[in-house]
Amino acid sequence: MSKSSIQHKNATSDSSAVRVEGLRHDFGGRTILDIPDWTAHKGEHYLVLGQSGSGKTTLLNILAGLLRPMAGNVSVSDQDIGSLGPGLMDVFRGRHIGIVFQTLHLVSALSVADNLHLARYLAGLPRQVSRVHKMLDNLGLRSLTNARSRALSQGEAQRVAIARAVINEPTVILADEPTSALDDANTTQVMDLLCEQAEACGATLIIATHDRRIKDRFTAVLELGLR
Amino acid sequence: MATIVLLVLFASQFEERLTKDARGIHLVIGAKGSPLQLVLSTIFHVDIPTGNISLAEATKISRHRLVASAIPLALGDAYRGFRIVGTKASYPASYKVEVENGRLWKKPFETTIGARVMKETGLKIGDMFSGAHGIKGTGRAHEENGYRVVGVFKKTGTVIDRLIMTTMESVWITHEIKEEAKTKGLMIEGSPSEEREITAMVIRYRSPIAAITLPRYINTKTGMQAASPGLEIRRLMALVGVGIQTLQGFGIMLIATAALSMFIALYNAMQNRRYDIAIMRSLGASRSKLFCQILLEGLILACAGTVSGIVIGHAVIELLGQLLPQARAMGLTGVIWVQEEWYLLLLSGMVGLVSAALPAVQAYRTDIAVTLSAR
Repeated sequence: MSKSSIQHKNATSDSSAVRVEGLRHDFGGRTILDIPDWTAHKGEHYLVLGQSGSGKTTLLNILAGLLRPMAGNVSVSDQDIGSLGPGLMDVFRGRHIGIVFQTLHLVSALSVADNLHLARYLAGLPRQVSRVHKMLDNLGLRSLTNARSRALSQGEAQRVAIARAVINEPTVILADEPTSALDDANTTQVMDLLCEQAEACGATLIIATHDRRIKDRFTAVLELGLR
Repeated sequence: MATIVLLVLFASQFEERLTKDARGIHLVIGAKGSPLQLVLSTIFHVDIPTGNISLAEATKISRHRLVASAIPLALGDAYRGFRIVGTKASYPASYKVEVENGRLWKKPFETTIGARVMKETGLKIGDMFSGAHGIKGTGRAHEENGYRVVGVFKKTGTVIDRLIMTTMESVWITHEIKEEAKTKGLMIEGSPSEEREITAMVIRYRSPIAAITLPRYINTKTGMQAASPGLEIRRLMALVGVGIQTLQGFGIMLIATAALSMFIALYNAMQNRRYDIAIMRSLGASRSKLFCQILLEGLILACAGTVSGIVIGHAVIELLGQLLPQARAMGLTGVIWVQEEWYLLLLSGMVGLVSAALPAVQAYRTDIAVTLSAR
């Protein structure tokens, strides 16, 4: 069983946004994730690199509180998320964690703007039309404000998913394979957007991918191996 | 839902109208024949009379010690579907109706009309009109004898609203002169009353014991017939009630089917929306919030269906009340709210909640990671 190799490049911040201790998760009798200790600092960008099946999505699901690990502790913004009940975890996630799923998971029946409004509403935040419009402006989506999300191209939908992940100004942004289906030009554009938006709201960005094209953009890489 | 609302409105108005119109009338005396027909024609004015009775014989009964009051009625004509009733001032007084405009009739061919008569015929004080033979007023017109409107009653929601009241003499004059009454020696106003006829007489008992003795006495010792409105209404309701209950049973079956359809629709919708629910959970929607949302959705769906049903039911009843002569005669209206409709709303809300409960539990139990990764 190979261990996760952790490389930190210029991780200067001393305050942690995400802290993982003794994390282990099994699936089908096989350990798919084993991370003894890992910290993601506030405002930093991290890459979780690994092949398919190495547990990248599982790790992100655990960090997002969508999945309970078999063992170990996970803290996000100094909150031990394992101690939160399902209801509180949902609320915590809405306020502190932005997620860009591999399959974008926009609500297809809603417009672009409403997808963003929904994210605020479900997090218990007030409706702010100006904020949504500004976000859509920033991501070059203003002309698509009222477009149904099902009618968007892959690139447009990707940008809407990013907008939705950052609309609540989370402390941590988790992105699962955001560039896997994109060509080089679009990959660069999406990565620029993700990094810009994370910096704009001061969030810690954690991207899980097997796409090595983006490895060089990151100062810290958590590499997961197959078990 | 519209079907059951329609039935509820019809049944309640039908029963209420029967009870209201017969209030204070203990016995009806008329010519021998069907007692139900006598009651329907005399109290509700929806049937043809069984015949005429002698005024003298009826007067004898009115003087009976067990009779508190007796009001004679002379029927025969109508104007545009509204019956002309020759009677005394005590008849509208027994319904506690007041004159809104003008005054009560005093002389022959003066009339005081009901509120609905005024509304539907456009008659107003000072207007002249002629009655025509028959219950619908579609028979031979008595153009030689014109009636004049001298007053309009306040709206009461009773049969009075649909009647045109005049003196008994008006009816006698109209019919005696032109219908060979002359040859029989019948006289008009001021003539000996012994040979005059009336259609019926409504009686109020002085004592409850009269209910036992008086009808039997009239039915066996006179050439007239006595019919108890209470008894006849119960008989009528027993007959009509079977139909109404059958239709209500059918309506309940429809509601049950609607509930099942709603459950299936919500259940299927929930299967299709499990993914959306998982997204919402991932965005911070709590399980309890989604649970309540699904329940609310069921509630709104059910209430929307019920409100639509209520609106349609009321519209159909109102339309029937306007278009069908029988329904109009009954005073059927859709502009009314009955207690049972609150129960229907409550029931449909509960049906909506129950139908949404299982899908809501499913939403509550959605495993976000599994659902999203399955996509």
